[in-house]
Amino acid sequence: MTLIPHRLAVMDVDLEALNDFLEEGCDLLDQLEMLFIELENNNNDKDVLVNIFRAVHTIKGSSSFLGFKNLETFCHAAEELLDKARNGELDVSSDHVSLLLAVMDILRYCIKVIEVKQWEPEEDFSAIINQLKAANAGEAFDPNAIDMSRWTSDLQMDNIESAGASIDSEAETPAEEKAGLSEDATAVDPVESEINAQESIENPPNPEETGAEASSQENGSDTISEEILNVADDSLPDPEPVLADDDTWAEIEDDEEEENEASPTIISEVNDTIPEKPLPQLEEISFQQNNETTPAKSTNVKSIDNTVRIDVKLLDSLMNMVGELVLARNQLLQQLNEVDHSGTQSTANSISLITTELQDGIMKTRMQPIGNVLNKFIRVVRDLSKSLGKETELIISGKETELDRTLMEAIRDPLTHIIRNAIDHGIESPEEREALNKPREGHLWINSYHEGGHIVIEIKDDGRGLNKSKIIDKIVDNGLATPELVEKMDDNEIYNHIFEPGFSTVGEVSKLSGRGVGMDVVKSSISKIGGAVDLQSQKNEGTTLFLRIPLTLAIIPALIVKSHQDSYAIPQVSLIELILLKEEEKDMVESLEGTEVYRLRGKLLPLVRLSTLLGRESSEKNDSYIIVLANGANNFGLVVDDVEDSGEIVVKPLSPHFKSCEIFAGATLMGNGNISLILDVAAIAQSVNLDSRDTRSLADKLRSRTKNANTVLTFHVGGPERFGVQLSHVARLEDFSASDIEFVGNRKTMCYRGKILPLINLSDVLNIDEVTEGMNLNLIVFKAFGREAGLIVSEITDTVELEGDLNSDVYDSSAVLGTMILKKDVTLILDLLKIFEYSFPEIATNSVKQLNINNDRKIKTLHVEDSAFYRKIVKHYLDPEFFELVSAENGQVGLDKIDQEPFDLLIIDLEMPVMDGYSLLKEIRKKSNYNRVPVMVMTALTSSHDKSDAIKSGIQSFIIKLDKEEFLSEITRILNLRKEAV
Amino acid sequence: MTQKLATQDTFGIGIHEKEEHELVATFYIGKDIYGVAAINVQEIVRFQQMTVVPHAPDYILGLINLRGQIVTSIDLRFRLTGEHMAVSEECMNLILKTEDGIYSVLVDDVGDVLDIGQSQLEPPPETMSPGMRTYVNHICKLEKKLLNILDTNKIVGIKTES
Repeated sequence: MTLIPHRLAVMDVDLEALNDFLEEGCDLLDQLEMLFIELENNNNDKDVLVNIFRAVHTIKGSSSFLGFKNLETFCHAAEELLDKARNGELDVSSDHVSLLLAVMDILRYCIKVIEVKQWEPEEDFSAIINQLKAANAGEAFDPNAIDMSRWTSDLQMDNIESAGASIDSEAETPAEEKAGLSEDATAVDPVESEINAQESIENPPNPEETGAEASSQENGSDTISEEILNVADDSLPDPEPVLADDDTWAEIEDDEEEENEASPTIISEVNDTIPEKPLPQLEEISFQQNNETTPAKSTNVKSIDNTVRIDVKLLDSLMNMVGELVLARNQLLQQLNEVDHSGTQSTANSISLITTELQDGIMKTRMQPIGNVLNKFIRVVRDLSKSLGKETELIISGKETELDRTLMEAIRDPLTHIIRNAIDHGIESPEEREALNKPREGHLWINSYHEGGHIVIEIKDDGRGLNKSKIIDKIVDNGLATPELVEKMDDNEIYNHIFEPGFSTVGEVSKLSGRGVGMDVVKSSISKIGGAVDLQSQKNEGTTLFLRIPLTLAIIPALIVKSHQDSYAIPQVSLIELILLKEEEKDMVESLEGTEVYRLRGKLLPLVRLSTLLGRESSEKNDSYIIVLANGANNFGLVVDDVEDSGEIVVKPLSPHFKSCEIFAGATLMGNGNISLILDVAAIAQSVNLDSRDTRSLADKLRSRTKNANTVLTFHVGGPERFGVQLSHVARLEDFSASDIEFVGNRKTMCYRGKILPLINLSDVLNIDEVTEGMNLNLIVFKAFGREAGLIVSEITDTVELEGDLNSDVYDSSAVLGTMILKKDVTLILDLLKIFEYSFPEIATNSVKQLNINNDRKIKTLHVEDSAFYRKIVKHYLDPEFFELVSAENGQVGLDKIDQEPFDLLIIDLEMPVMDGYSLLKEIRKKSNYNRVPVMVMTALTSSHDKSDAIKSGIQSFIIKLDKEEFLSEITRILNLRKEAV
Repeated sequence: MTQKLATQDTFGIGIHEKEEHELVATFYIGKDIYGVAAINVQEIVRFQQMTVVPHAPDYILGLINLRGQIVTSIDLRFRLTGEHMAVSEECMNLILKTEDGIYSVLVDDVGDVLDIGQSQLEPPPETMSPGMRTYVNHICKLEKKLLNILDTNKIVGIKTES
């Protein structure tokens, strides 16, 4: 046998046959994989063995037909072993299965190579063949001795592809290799001739078929064979991999010839057994095999008629057209609604019905049971467990759940990664498990089911669960959050950090847990197909991952919302809930440093306004909706004007011109023919830079704001006196030097962040020592009357919680609220607003005027408050020129006072001894003459629960202690409200 | 890219030597007349409701629904002159077939289809404003006026912003 016919053989075979071979080969290998696993669980099951044998034999037959001699020889060796097993002459051990699985991997590799090069790999199969022969002869063999990396690594595939594209210099096969090849060829010669003989017995060549193929091919054959020839020439394999290999390879080659001598005898046994009829219960599998149009197989032709192979592209275009049809149908129905024509109406209805059915039908053609992907993991789990010395049982349920085939491809890699993680990191070693009173064998469940228009895939293990402390360390190390923030997170929030990029808690990357991809890749590839990932974990009980993916990519359920007059679609997959925000509840939306938040069941929900996203003015509409959307573990609310409808939309991509419009995932046509843009939830979250860290820090700020009202910042101004201001008034603290001071007129200012900041010297207001030149100066920047101002101080000492009583007798100045003993030192608590008013009367006047409520008499005000400090502060705030203030120290006293005389305004604290604010409010509401009296609640409690409770009990205002500006403006507001009502 | 465009150049700089005559569809933006190769014009449809896409580039007017197909509409006036098109119900959509698919160019009116010979064509003068020159393939010397013949692929192109 010479080498030349090898190369030319492909010219005789048309491309179609080659493609058939590839398709069939892939299917058979998939089948084989399942069968081998079944075999292992079910030792020496004859039926399974017969099927395995048949599959390998088919591959061998086709290889021989196409002239792939190496492949044929190799399959033959495997077949021999299988034959023995099939006849019960061999006890199939786990090692046998491993060996046969290795055979499969190599076959898979070969098929890939053939796909690329259109010719079989000319690598040396002798190592595996020798192992097979040893196994066959009952000698010792070791499946692990075969270096599988060369067959399975993706790198190898890359080499092939690049080799295929590489230039002519490599096309000249080095003489050594030629020699090696011819040696191979002669060595296998006797075997081959046997096989050929046997082949002709089982599958007599079908002259009709090949004849027809040949004639149909004749016209175009010239060009095609030329092409093939070119490909074959270009893709001569790089000799390097063959020669530069481990020593083991060389050794094995030496053994080869001796081993070969044994083979012919075994072949004859094969021949004897081939004519066996398939067992009846195997029909299903043989049917599957026959679905493929294998020229070599001509039996059971009838069953082929039931199925047709269709190009996926054709299905895709059908799918597109049906999408269009659905839209046209929707338009038709809508237009018909406007005219009254019963005959047309009924025709339209039947068109509508048929369209729906057609849509379902087309969708079904693209659907495949998810089992097709999940079954692949049986092997993955088996191999992985073995190599890690773990015992894992994989339990798959819901295999029949159907999924669009494009999605099937998309979930394969993420699933593989998750499963590898589960076994590598999740499931403990058998010893460890025993120590924990768990069964030695770990379990991995994969379940899939439909849920609300989506498919959920649940991957659950009963391993050790996620390592919380490691994740926390990593969060802190990566600077994703401070330790304090982490403490406030719940477990779920912490665990979800594993989806952050660059987040691997394993010190070193093991070769098992993937190709350097982390869970972030899992998350991004799932969200790319419009899905979502969630995770739960319990220490020592295991981890569960939920993948939620849409049924199909082309048609998705969506919610249609409105902003101004335009409609937008939001994919339902990210939708959690809808909240109607009524006009009167608008103030439930709070603002924190420019970010709006809404308290949703005690948690802060950051809000994004759709109109802002779209770059428009927010609309004047009264009611609006908050759409709560999921973005990983962090939800956010999208404020929209209106919610219209939900329905199925056909996603159409936007042209690349719209690259700058990241917040849109595409466009769709509505029933009325209008185009709506589809919002991309993940991109929106990203565009406003919303993530968990932000929301948490917002929550902290809200908390600290409440706290600040009760905290005093203490400082010195030149002299020994200690001063204090409420921290809630302070915007910032700044360092500055005397040289920064500039004079505008006789006023001190400084240039600060591009603006002119007026400065206040406390000595101008109070009779104290002036800050002297050369001192280290600090600036307390505060806001008053909508303006910023800076108070010059020499030294900032501390922040202190308010305690004890405020004494307003010692220091008589309107700029001082009073004195207080804080940490054993007397501190003068300053009224920053008064100081500002005093220093810049012209700015303050406008604001103060608002308080001139234009009343003919003083407003009689009752302040019910248990803390003497706040009683004094309120007294200080309310100008005696306008207000007549009566104070009460608890609800009961307050109620008594109300009974004694009428009041125009009530200011009430909620937390009080004897009778609290709620009870007091109830009592007050019982009095008919108090229906109209405005009530302001002033409290340190800030939960939304309190607020809504309070608002329900009829109060007009609710403020947090104690910001003078807010307090005064609220008083003005509610008094004016009352006046309007009158 | 240039080469690719050249092979598409239906006015032939020696590529389609046999075709001496070419059909050019003319249209008006304001008072100005422009032309494109008629072979690249799929159809002309009356004004369709325009869906504006927020944050889209300036030269994009929006999206229109062309019998179930979503088509991007280009503000050619903005591309040529830097001034935005005055969108009204009177406008027409010139639907162009291009390398990137179908686009709409909103125009004020459509004119005749002219049969123009090679000899009438000249390259755009060096002095033409660079903004305009990007899109103009040829200048056609009509009897009374000059006609700018535009390159369809460029007027709907993404990177031709100068």
